[in-house]
Amino acid sequence: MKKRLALSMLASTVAFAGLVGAGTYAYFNDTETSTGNTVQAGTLEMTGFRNDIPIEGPMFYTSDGFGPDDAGVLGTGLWQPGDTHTRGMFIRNDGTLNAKLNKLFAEAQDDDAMAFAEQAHATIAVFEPDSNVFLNIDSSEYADLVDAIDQFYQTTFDDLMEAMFPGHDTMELEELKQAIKQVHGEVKRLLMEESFRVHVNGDPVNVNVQHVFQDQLSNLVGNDNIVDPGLQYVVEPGESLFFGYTVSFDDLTPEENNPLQGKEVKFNFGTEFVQD
Amino acid sequence: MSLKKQFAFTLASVGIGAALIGGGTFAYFNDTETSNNNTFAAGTIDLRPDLNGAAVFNIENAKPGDDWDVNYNLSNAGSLAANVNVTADYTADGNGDGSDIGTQLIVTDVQFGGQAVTVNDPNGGDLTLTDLDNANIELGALGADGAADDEKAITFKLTFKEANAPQNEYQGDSASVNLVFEARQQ
Repeated sequence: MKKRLALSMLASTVAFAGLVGAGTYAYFNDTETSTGNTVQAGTLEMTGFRNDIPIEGPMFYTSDGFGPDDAGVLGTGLWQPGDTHTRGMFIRNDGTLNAKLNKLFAEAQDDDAMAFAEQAHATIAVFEPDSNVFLNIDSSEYADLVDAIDQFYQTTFDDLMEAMFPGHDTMELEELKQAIKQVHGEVKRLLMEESFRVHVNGDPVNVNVQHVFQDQLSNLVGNDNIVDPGLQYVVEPGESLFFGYTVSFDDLTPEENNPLQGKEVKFNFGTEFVQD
Repeated sequence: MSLKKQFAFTLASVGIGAALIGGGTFAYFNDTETSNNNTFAAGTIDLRPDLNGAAVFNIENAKPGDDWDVNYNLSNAGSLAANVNVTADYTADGNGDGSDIGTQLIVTDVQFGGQAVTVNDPNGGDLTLTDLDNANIELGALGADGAADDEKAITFKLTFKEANAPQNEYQGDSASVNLVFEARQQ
């Protein structure tokens, strides 16, 4: 009697112990599988181009030419102090992501270029993106647009210089530099309120200046020119921004300007866009 | 089992979040578009000849009634058109008696490239060499090198006035004029 009881108790205990530990369970279940979950990165791809003949090449060049090796038909000619020329480029968003303007910068080729940059101002007007307009402007409209910006800048600058500083012909160099900087600033302010007319398929369309960046060209050189957060213009896929670059060779004193006579200098003008 | 796996996954997410919050360099998408080799070529203005102080005219043994035609060529060897002006600086050597021969030397018919040049006469009457002291005279334009008008002659007539009376105080006198020609961009 005693023996039988002990055996059965032990056996039961063993059986229970087997149940309490970990191991495979049998239970009801059902599974659902979701396949092909992808993460695909969008693209940030901007394309820059002119819209005159020929399409490739720099914005600013000296001589006109129709040949395949020539830069184009909107040459600036030779520069002398007091000259202002405007040229432009389109930057189109060919990617899938919104692109935000992050930096505007220039690269100077050599010391002579930096010397020129110290005596020049760069004013970059950003026009509203509208692919209906900008992708449909032909080369003569493009030429008219840069010419209109140019005329506005030159006339406004000359008028304001006479009005604000009538005695500028006899100023000392430092005073003259300050006066010139101030007048450029005033022209910038007025340019920001300006709109220009182009013709798309014969119909007149106004294109508005969204923002203007301006500085002495020497300050644009270097890669640190992060655009102010409030001015980081966003371009949607398919849209273009038009940048009008107005470069002015400041009319300083003969002592200051003369060392640049006969010099030919080169710059790269760049824009950096980042994801929005 | 499923509980354990879920718990492990949550831990991993927190790990990623911690990495994002920290400072330092951010990785982001960007693209740069550059317009290359934009060229700015400055022109030149180069007035010729290179005088280095050389005299343009030299008159000797003058006497009342004499006249001389002065003719001097200026040219622009630069690539920019220019406007030319001249500044005169006059000095008299009165040979001890304080006489100024310049008052007897009359300047007429000043031309540049065959075009008459306007000269301001501060004292009225005849325009004399003395009148030209500290004068600045706009001569006219010179085209860029290669243009039809890149070279012009400055011409004028100089006459030793006849006073119909003795002018002996001027005997032995001399006078000199320094001229600074400037070509400026237009």
